[in-house]
Amino acid sequence: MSSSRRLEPDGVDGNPERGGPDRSFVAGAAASFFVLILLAEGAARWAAGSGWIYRRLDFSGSLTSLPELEQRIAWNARRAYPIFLLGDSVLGPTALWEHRVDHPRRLTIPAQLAPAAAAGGMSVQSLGADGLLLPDLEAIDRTIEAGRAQTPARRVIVLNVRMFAAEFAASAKALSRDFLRPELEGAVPDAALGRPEDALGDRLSASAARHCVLARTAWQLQPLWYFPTRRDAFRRLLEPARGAAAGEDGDLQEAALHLKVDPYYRGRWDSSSVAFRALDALLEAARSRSDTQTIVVLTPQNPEFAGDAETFDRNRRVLFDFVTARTGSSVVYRDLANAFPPERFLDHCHLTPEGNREYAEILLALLRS
Amino acid sequence: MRLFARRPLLAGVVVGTLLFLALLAILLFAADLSSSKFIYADF
Repeated sequence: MSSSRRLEPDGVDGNPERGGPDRSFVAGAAASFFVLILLAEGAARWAAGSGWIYRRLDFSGSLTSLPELEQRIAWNARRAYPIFLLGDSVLGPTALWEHRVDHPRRLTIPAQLAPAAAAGGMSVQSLGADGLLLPDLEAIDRTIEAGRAQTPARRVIVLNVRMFAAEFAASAKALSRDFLRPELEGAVPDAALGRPEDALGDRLSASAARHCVLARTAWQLQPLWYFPTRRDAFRRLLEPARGAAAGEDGDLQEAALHLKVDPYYRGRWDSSSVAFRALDALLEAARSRSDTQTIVVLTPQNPEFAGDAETFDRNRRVLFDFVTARTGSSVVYRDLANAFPPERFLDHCHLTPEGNREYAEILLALLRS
Repeated sequence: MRLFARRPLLAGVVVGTLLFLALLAILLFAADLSSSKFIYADF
């Protein structure tokens, strides 16, 4: 009896204090939990604000939230002679990863361009991400302009054939990242309005990304291990167990790729489409920035995927005429569609590491000119 | 366990730390930022 009483806390009158141990337990748990959250939030704010995270990690190919985009822009805008690369998966490591190239993040176009550009005093930051379309690029360009620092930032806009495909002309598919929609101020209407189940989740995510840098940074880091998507990462983990079927998968993947991309090359481009409207806005904005140059390129295409040469050449002429009619002294356009032979490609438009290196050299020459 | 029974504050600190680590693990490995979704098949 006496030994059990020794474990009970005593009040000043010698009786056990009601709720004493419980209160201490709850106080200790709450204090440690919230102090650790505050410390982690502070560390995340410092890492993002100082650019520490961007100097050490390459986030090319992924874009998780508008605040992340603004943070990346703000960091590079503070550096010497900032240059932003705008484009789609051509700028990221996904295709290299899919083709089992070792260290894909070190072999992307931005990764090979940045050191050479830095030697010339230029600070290159890629804002390219998988699946981006022209309205996405327009929204990103507006975000750069909204956060404009004293030093004007140059842009390199990398256009891809896929961006002009009829498949992405409908409002529902014209924008790949919903969080960029407000930046366009109604230029691309939300075809998915009226989905309350998604709206609440999206609002919560957007709010968390805006106000909690810890959450934003955690989501930003996820593609470093779940790349390019969580499903792909798990599938790759299972690959050793599925080794026997790998050969069949290769043939199937190639057939699936052709089925997916052939319509991009077959369709005739319509200069009144959503994509061309966004390109028009991009060029108009570029022309109005007389203090800085914008370089626009049509990214190289694998001739083996180009399909009907007449349609492809006609589409390129439509684009050339459209762009050159809107370029001024501050806009430079280069059609690089035929710049590389088939052996430099991994698929229809993504280049091998060597191709990426040569592409980076071409972009560097344009930046220096 | 007897130590935690005698030191409820310490037990609380340990539990709070574990809760924080669980939250961090959810953010890093499980939470899905819905606004980052896009149709990967279109890449």
